Parts: sequence; structure tokens; C-alpha cells
Amino acid sequence: MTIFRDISETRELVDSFTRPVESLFPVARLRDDPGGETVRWSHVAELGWLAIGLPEETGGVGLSLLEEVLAAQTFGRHLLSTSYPATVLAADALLRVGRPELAGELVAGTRRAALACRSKGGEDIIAFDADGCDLLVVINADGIELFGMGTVHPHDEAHWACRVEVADDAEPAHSVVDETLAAKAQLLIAGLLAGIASECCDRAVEYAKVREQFGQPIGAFQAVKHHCANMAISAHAARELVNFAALSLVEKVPGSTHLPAAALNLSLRAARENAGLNIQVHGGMGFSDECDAHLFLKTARILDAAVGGLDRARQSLMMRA
Amino acid sequence: MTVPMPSDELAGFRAEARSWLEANIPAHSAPLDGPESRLFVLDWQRRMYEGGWAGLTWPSAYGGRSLSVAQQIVWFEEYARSGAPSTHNASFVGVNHAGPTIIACGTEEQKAFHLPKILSGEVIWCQGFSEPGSGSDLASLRTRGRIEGDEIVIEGQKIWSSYADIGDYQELLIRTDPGSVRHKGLTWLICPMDLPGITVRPIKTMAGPSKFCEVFYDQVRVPIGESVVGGIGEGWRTAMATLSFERGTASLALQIGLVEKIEKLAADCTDPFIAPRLADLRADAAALKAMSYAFALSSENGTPGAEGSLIRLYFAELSKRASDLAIDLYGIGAAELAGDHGWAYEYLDAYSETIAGGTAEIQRNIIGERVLGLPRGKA
Repeated sequence: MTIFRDISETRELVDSFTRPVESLFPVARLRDDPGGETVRWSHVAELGWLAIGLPEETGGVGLSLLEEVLAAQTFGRHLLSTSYPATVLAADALLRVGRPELAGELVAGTRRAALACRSKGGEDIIAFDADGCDLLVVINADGIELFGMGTVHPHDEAHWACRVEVADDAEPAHSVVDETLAAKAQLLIAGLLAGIASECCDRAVEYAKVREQFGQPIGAFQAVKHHCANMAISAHAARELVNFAALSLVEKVPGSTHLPAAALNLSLRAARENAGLNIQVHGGMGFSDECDAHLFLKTARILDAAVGGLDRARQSLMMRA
Repeated sequence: MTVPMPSDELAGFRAEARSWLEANIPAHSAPLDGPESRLFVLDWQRRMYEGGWAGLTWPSAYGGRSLSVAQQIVWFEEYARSGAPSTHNASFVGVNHAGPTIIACGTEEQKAFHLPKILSGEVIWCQGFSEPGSGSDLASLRTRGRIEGDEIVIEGQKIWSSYADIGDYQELLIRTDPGSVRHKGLTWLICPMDLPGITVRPIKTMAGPSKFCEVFYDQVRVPIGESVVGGIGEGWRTAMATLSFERGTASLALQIGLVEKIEKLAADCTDPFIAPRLADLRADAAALKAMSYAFALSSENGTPGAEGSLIRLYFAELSKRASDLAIDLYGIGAAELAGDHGWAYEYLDAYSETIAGGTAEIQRNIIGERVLGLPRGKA
């Protein structure tokens, strides 16, 4: 195969098996029933979404990283729990360290992993959406670490952070240092962020078409129209780079090892910018809790924190040849 | 549906391109304007044509090779890597605008006469679209064409016509229906530049070279049959076909070239204060490549979509940021800034990128209206 191909057929395939996300995970669920993610998790497992990229002989669907990042973009648009990338990465890591039974339980949905990161000082683990989770996943530049659940100290409401103290002095249960796993982690997070950037753009554009001021839709004013154009550019760039990076890795194209870091860098900026502009275009409504715009911003910042933030992403990109 | 070429065949094609370029790229760098630039560009175009490297995706009936977009991309990748002359030179309009427009809308006689000349480096083309009173608002143009029997008599003025002083032909957009307004009543013409009544005055740019010109038309007579492309009064449709090339695949070579330059900046960077900005630039360069490849490949089996204008704008703004950073990175007075194609020239020249071919503001309107479906403002 070659990277010089039109991926529209792959996109159609992924759309066909991720479509149930629209009815099962409408974004409004996070306002109406924020505690229900644990219950809804069984759907994520039943639909095979946790095993898209795992080999068939281990019970996976056997598709490539390209299908995984395309699916992640759709899931990002619906703000699927951050347990999604955590569980996918944990299952992959556990297979690599010879723990197929635990990986199988994660993929089957009977156990769930939470996304986590170290606190700025390094002494605590901060976990996200960790209710009902069995292990914690920390993404590093060179791989991932798995921790058992420690004592949980709820920190804030369900959709923001909660602080976790990990037993046994923060010693990870498993630490997997692996280039391909690190790239997969970067691209999964980048895919989710690209999805968020795209959804924020679409929502701002739809609102700009119907909200009227001074006798016309606000999207007719160049100041608003250009915000929307900028959002479209950021989202398009993020999506295409995520896909291109995944395709280049799948096809083992020489000189593409920096692409996952590049995709992450760009997606981090696109998600921050578009989540912010979506709030701005929605005006006063955008600042209300009732509007979903803030949910995209908060999720984007959590995914952002989980990979160490934009400054770390810049550094990691410049260290690559 | 074009079947993707297997990667081993593509690798063979790449090796062939690389060795030809190594053996053939000109020893001297390209002059930026004037008669020397004409000789240089025609010579280089002729050499590519003779080597079989001109018009890769053009139909073989007109001297092209009917190759796939994938092969075109591989050629441009190797072209950029080899340091071959920028494609943004005096041959650009012929190869990337006029030629494709004649392929799309021209008569068989026009195709047979003009296309081989463009590919083989016999002629230089320039563009006559903008006027002193019609920049961003192109449809307001006023240069007139009076129909007299089987001739059109042209009267008026064009501006920002690149390389008109060294051009043989111009793609010219004029108003042939005197009572018409806006997009109606326009005609797209092939105008030879040596006709009586044409006066060309080069304009010196802020970057130094005089590559843009004003062109004045005083009772210039052209025959309708040979000159009109796409029909009298159909000029706007023909021009849009031209502009969709400008906003689409025509710039692939430039885009790949910019990505190469940014990778070089990244490789040369040892300054920890500049590195974070360069990281963003490098990521954006990778995205430019991803977008332009996906766009070119998806356009292969249909007409280019409106997102071409998005990529065009992305390229323009990235060019400005890259040259801006290059000056910070190497420092004023550095060897990397000097010379006809140094970063100092690139930095100044990049200011035209967000103006020429549709300003950044117009591009954002196009993205808002044609890609996103936002309403037009009340006039």
C-alpha cells in the first residue's frame, strides 16, 4: 500500500461502526445525567470500540491505527469519557506485558481504566472521571504507566478533576516503555482533541447562522465569520495531520517519527482555540452552564493535562529528528 | 477511479526523478525578474520537457504524461529536496493557470496550438485579471472589449500582472457586454503581448524585483475564434476554473518546498528560546503537507473542492511565519539571509502571499461562505 491514497472508504467504514455514539452519547447527557457514564460504559465495550486496534487473535477487531484515530475523532466530538483512551491504552499495554486476562476484562467492559497524570509537583496522581475505575493510566513521552486505584479524594464536580492517592508510594504496577505505544497514545489523544476542535467549529457555525443581531445572522458579520473560518482551518489541519500521521506510521514511511508529536502539538492548540472561540461566538449563552460549550473546553484541558500540556508537547516535538 | 500505484513502482519512479534532478538542476540560481529570468525559466522548462518531467498529470494528447496525482506528489517531493528552481516563477501562470484552463475550457485548435508550447518552454504567460479599481472585488472590472465583426477591440488597464514585461501571452478577463454588471458579460481571452496598442510598465516591489506590471490596452484587436476561451460572456465561469487551480493543486510544489524549508530551520535550531515557536511551525508544516496531499488525492477523481482556499490561506500565513522566524533564528546579517533567494528576500516577498490571488480577508470570507455556508453580509 501507500500513503498516497484517498482514505474516504476507510472513513466510511469507521463511521458505520461508530454511528451509535450519536444516540447513545449525546453531549447533553453530561448535563442531564453526569453520573451515568459508568452505566453507559457497557455500550462502549459491547460495540467493540475498546478493541479496534487490537489483533484478532487476542479478541480485538484487528484494524489499524488509522481506523483508531478516525474513531477517536468521532468520540471526541461526543465527549466520550476520558476512560476511553485510558482503557484502550491499558489493554494494549497489558497484552505487551503478558497480562491477557486483565486486558480481556478491560476490553469486555468489566473493568475500566481512568486517565491520570502526575500533579505539577509530582507527589500526587490526578485522575479524571475515575468513579468505578479499577486502574489508572499515566501517559509519558516514552510509553505509559499503570497504577492500581488508591484512595480517591473527590476534588470537583464529575467533569473536572479528582485527586487520587496511589497506594504503595506511587510505584506503578506496570511501566511499558515502547515507541509504538507512546505514538499510539499521542495520536489517540490528538484524535480526540481534533474531534473536539471540529465539533466546536460546527457548533459555533450553526449558532452563527441562526442567532440574529442588528437584523441579520451574526455569521454574516466578518468579525464572526472570520472566527468561524479560523476554527475551520484549525480543525481541518488537526484532522488531516492526525490521519496523515497514523497512515504514515501504519505504512512505515521513513522520516515520519516526529508526526505523532506534531499531530499532538497541533491538536492541543486547535482544541484550546476552538473551544474558546465556540464560547465567544455563543456570547452570553456560551458562558452559561446550560450551554454545552464549556464541556468541550473542560474536556480539552483534561486531555491536554494528561499529556503534560502544550509546552511539553512543543519540547517533545523539537527533540525528534 | 484511479487505482493507487503500488509502493514499489512508486519507489522506482522516485529514484528515476531523483537521479534526473541530480544530473540536471541548473548550476546558477534563478534570476528574479527581467529578460534573464525569461531565458532562465524557458531553458529550465525546456530541459524538464525534454527529460519527460513536464506536465506529468496533463493528458498525453497535449504533450503531458497522464500520470497519477501520487506520482505528481513524488515528483514534487524530489523536486523540493533537490533544490531545483522555485516553481513560483515566470512559467507558473502558463503551466498552472492558462494551460489547465485551456485543457478545461479551450477549443481543440487552442489546445493543439498552445499546450505543447507551454510545456516545452517556448512561451511565457501572464495574467490580466486585477485592475486599479478591481482588486479584491474582481467582478467590478471595467476593461472593455468591443465586438467588431470577428474581432474584439480591447480598451482599458490591468495591474499586478506578473511577468507581463517578459510574457508572450496573457490570460485576460474583460467586459464584452457594455451594459453588463458584476459577473455577467465577461469574457476570458488569450491575448498575445506583442500586439499594437499594448504598453507594459513594470512595478518595483518592496522585496526588490519588478515582477508585477501594469498593462495598458489602446484599441488592441484580437480575433474572436482564436482568442476566446469558454465562450463570449462566459468569462467568469472560465476564470473560476482558473482560480480553483490556483487555490488547489497548482501550489503543491510550493507547499512541499515550504515544508522542506521549515524542517531545515528545525534542524538548524539550537536556540532554546526559539524552539517552542519552531515546534508549532513544524507541526503546522506537517499539517500543510497532510492537507495538501489529501486534497490533491481527493481531487483526482473530481473537481477540487472549496477547501482549496483554506489550504491556500494556510500556506500563505505559514510562509510569513517561517521567514519571520528564520530571521530571528539566523540573525540579521547572517549568510542565510543574503542573496536573491535568501531568507531576507523570502521574508519581504512573503508579504505578497496574503494579498495576491485573493487577500487573506477574502479567503476567510470564501471559507466562511462556501465551505461553512455562512450568510453573506448585507451590501
